[in-house]
Amino acid sequence: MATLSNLTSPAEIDAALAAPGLVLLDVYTQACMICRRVEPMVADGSGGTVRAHKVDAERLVDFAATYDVQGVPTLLLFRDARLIERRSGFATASALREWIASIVGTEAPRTS
Amino acid sequence: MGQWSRDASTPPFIDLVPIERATGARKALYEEMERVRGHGRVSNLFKAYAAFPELAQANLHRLMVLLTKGNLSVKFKEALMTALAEANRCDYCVSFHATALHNAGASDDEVNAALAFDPDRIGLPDKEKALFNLALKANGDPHSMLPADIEAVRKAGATDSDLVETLETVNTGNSFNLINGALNVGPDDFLNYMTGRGEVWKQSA
Repeated sequence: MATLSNLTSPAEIDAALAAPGLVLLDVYTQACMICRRVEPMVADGSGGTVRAHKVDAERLVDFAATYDVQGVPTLLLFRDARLIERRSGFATASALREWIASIVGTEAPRTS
Repeated sequence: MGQWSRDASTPPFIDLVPIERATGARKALYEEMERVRGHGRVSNLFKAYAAFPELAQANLHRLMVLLTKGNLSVKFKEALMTALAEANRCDYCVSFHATALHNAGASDDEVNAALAFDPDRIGLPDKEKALFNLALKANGDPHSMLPADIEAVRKAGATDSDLVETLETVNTGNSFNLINGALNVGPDDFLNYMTGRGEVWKQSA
């Protein structure tokens, strides 16, 4: 199970979003148990197609407000620093692979 | 490593009484386990449970019912418990269940697929693939379950008994992960497959 890198400042978020291709931000809070359960799913469900990171909504309040994060976990999918899709709540790795595949239009490569 | 993974440098928080020192109800439990699993094969998990022998007996019997009764394969149930152990960051549990999954006929690739929460590559029939995903979703957020989720597994052939058997596998895996995590219980010395997951998590953190 890979672990998502934790982005801790607006500068780190900007740098992550500047990466080419798709970038997925997993917005969580420390107290959210469902967020803990979804993180390994995001790490394995996104591998190979999308760069995934996590952002603490209570630490980066302005970021959460900018993207209207009403609850956690919320997954924000960006392309070229522009938000293109979002989803909230728990999802299995399989469901996330299908979601990403539907966005990119091809079957998402699987991690080993 | 993080606040929710075992500290391998610290001893267990509970006395794991070795086989040769067991007496009374603990000794009876150990002997029953050795009859089921083989000489010397008393897991550290059940050495921990044996601090409350009646509860240990109840859990052992519950585990035996789960693994020997029902309609779903042992491969499916061990794959699910391997995945849960990975998600719960229990390195001992990963090694234990991955070993059992391997012994149930899974290849190394299939074991790695379980660790990646990917039922399509574990070599399971369609019904068990569907139940695997249902189990992960229920484990993630039980209140997110929808009638459509149940309908999907029924369409794959799952019965009410299959649903209960699947969700009890989730419960069993999680309960063992919790005991091991909360009491800092480390792997049995007879485990030698898929050991060291803790180091993998530490390096990727």
